[in-house]
Amino acid sequence: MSALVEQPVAPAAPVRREPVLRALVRNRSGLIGTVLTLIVVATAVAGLAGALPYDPSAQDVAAALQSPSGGHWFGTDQFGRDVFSRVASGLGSSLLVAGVSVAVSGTLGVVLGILAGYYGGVMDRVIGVLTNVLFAFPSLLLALALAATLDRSRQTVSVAIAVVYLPIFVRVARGPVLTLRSADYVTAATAIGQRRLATLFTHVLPNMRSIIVVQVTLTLSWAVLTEASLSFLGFGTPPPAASLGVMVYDARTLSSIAPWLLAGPGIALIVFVIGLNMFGAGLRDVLDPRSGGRR
Amino acid sequence: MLRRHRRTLRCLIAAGTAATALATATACSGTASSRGANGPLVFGISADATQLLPWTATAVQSQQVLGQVYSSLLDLDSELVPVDGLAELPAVSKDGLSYTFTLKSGVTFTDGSALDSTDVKYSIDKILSPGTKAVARTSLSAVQRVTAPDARHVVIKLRAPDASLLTALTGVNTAILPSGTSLDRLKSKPVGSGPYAFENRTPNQSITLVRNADYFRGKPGLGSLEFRVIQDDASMVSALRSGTVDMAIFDNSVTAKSAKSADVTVHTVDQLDYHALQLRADSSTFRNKDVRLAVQCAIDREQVVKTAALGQGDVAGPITSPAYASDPAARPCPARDLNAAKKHLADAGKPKGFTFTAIVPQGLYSSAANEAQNIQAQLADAGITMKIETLDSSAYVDRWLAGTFDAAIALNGAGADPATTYTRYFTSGGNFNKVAGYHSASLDKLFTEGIATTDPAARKAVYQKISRELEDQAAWIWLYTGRSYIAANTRVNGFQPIADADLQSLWETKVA
Amino acid sequence: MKSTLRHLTGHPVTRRLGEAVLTLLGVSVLTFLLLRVLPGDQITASYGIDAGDLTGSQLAQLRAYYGLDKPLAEQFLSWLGGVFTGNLGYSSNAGQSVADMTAHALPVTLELAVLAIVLALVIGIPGGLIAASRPGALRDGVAQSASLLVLSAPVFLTGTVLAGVLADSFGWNPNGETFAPLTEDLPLNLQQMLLPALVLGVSIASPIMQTTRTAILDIRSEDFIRTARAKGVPERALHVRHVLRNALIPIVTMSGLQFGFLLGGAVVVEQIFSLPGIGRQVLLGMGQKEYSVVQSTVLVIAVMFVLVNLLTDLVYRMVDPRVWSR
Repeated sequence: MSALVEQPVAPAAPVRREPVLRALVRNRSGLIGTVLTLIVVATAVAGLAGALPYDPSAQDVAAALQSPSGGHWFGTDQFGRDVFSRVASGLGSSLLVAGVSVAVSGTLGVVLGILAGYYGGVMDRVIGVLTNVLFAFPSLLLALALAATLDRSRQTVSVAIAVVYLPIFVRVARGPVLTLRSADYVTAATAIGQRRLATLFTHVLPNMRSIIVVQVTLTLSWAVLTEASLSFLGFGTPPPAASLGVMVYDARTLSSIAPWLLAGPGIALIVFVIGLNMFGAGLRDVLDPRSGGRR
Repeated sequence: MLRRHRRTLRCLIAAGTAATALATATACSGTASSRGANGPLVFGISADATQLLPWTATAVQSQQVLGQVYSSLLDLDSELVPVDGLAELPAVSKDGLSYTFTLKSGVTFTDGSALDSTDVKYSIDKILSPGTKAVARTSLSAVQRVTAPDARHVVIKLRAPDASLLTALTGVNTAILPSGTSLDRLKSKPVGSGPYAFENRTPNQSITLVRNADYFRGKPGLGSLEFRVIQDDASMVSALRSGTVDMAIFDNSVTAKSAKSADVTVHTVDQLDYHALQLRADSSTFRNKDVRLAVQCAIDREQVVKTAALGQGDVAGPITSPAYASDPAARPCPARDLNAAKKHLADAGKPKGFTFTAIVPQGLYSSAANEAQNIQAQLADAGITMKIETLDSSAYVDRWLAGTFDAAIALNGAGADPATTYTRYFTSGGNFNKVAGYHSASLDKLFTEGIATTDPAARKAVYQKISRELEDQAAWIWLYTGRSYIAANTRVNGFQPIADADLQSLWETKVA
Repeated sequence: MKSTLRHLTGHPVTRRLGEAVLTLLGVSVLTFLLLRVLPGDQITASYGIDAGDLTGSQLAQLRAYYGLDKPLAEQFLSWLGGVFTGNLGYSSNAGQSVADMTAHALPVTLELAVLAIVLALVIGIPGGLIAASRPGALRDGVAQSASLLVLSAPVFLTGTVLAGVLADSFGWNPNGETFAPLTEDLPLNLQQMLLPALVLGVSIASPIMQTTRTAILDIRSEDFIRTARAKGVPERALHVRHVLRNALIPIVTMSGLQFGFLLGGAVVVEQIFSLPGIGRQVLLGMGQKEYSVVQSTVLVIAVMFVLVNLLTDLVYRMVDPRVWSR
């Protein structure tokens, strides 16, 4: 997957006529995205909590390779495991990995970006070079190498993906800080004796909220895809934990006799990512009037 | 004519489906093959043959390619019994210490030079020299001296009788190389006496061989033979179905089945390589024999075959060579017996079960993760918790060789001779004893006896005893042997599918 | 003298070049370290379990042969020294120098990236224009949904499904043939590039479309356009002369960025379609633990990336001179 970088968005003026949520559901893609994301997240949470029709790793060889039915909505695999339960648990795993990695890269990236943008000079140069290094390294290969280096687990996959998306957050945060640094109220805050670091986090950060929120939802969708690609190439979440990428990979060899094995995880993956993307697009429209969404 | 026409039409439709700006620019040439009756036969392989020196070739793809380029002193027949190759079956002295080989006359290398006893002596001496790092060095370790009394005769003197010597002299790892060409040159451009001569190689893409008209068995059937690298199984299936690849080997029955079509037939052949759950009896977890037997009794091997290999495999004991095969029913708990498993656990002082970790390779063979998952589920029924540690192939090999694991899901190579297969694992001085984790005085004695016994019936009895001890002690949990699937286009004639997916009959194969 | 130096080091171009060199050095160090932390080495990768039969002195010989016996710093410096003299290392598995391998692989990836970016622009810019022509209208919604759909389908899924369907239903499988280089068999080469370029192109058409749409809407609301419109400049001329030209800046930036990613990011597609490109070279090198192959190839990818970025920057500055002062 090619990683993308959004154009830095100028900070929105802190005036808003209606609450974000209400505006979001009035926006077409926002509404669809919210609904899809809610469905997927609910399924994923059920998967993580274990509230599923079947235990996702319970085998029942007598019921192997059954096509979808009332008992098994998405059919069963060669071990007689319920594919729906595995998809749900795989979604949970994706959500967890994507969530953790975006949380890590987002927090670290925004802090670094603010520091670079606010202090400038040597700090900016050093952070800039580090960001460039990570950018210039082919992203999937970087994740692959990191995932292969460490002990195979959900945590390490999350860390690998976090490193890949770190530079995006650095850049996204740095741009607006450059503009905000000279904004009147920041200058005023510094002038009345507030410490610089305090200024950064009390005045600068809240003003970038909308940009960061939008970037987080977009990055979440890329992280889901990257996790799936890593698993597909054999470097993702280890078995027996369900992972959508592994399920797609395994299903490919069986697709001629059991196409439902490919359909379940494939469709779940696409719906998940579409939901996140539409949610993100809707958020962007609502939070950033410049993007020219539905007004 | 008609056929070609139809292909063109299909091709246009395909281009239309993928309609883009580019489609118009792509003329439909090239795709439909214009290969003639003399070949090339295109053989799909899943990884490049990177090791072109036969003595150090360990990867199966390298062995497949080099098997067509090189010849050895002896070959194996379809029952894996040694038969004549470059030489007739040898005359053996009464004490079993001296083997005299007579070379076939008029054999030449593809560079035109004659293949005589000098080359044979050179090759075996080189294989035995540590500097060459040949993989067959250990299996030829009984060899004391090689002499070449005249151009057509070679005498191999042994330190001690070795019943596995003849088998050890078959295969590419003991191929005969020209003594006049340096190994460095052969590394990039092989020169052998096999049915096909090395023509060229494009790394990671293809290797082309051409007919060796002077091959000592007769004129090979194909004008040329191309090994084409297609990594992805799904892509390989597409290539077979569309006729761009003529032959390929799969180890997954469903993939093989999906390659089947009106133009592609699939032959099923047995493998000798065995799937096992290796336990390390000298680890603290498995030191107690009852703990190992509990695992043995808790596993239904049929179910492993059914789920991990989709039913395509045979439950097997330790020895899989056809002439010496173990009886899979001759073991403790031949059928799954959870009560027996629980009793063994109680005897071991672990009535509530225990926990261990198994290392599982990824990328080495397709069924590993599935075997692990099924065994994990089965052991859970007996209260035994098996944790799965997935490792990428080189990390797995590292850990496996170092012997730093409690248990391992493994697919181990087996040869035609049980001594070659198991001596290195289960004798106290074996190079892989650290990996196997089990040895005993009685096994050491039996292995020594087995290698010195040349009478086939007596020899078989010895290996039955070895097999029995390994099973009774549950040194490892032997699971099953898989199958290979050789897919071939119907235009391929005369190929004989034999056990272990050996490609030796490619020399007689023709294409229509 | 000192002030000239300061002037020179402070100059944006010098600074950018300096940063580029630092970036490449950083990439090299990172690659080097990652490789050494990966389990296994070239000996186990090539001997497999038979490495267990090697004696201590045989192992030592092999370590020396692969250069694994030297201290890490020395290994790195000797590789770096080689790079400066044009020696990118040697692959014993391919039996070729890494420079030769790259000379064959780089054009494949470059061709793929160029075709993909052209396809993406052909789809993305008109798509963005259509979407922006009436924001919020049905066509905008359709274009946006379509772009979201392709953005959301993973390349490994669309790639395998597409290739499988075409081969099964139409017997059309150009990627099963030996790869045909551009200069040797153009028709076959284009057939082999079609599907991978399509899959990649469509996946990056989406961000290009989004950028186009946003840029057009942005510029249309700017004062000078309003002024021009008020002055009575015809709508069509207005669009072409002012809006589109100004919107080009972000589109160029985004395309450059995507192109850079394509160079190293085509790994999955190259793998699925058996294209002997540079991504596959790295992946194979990683599998075979051929350190110099991976190090040199990643460096080449990074150099391409940095070059494309510099070029984009240059174009950017040419179009919009204000950037110089930043």
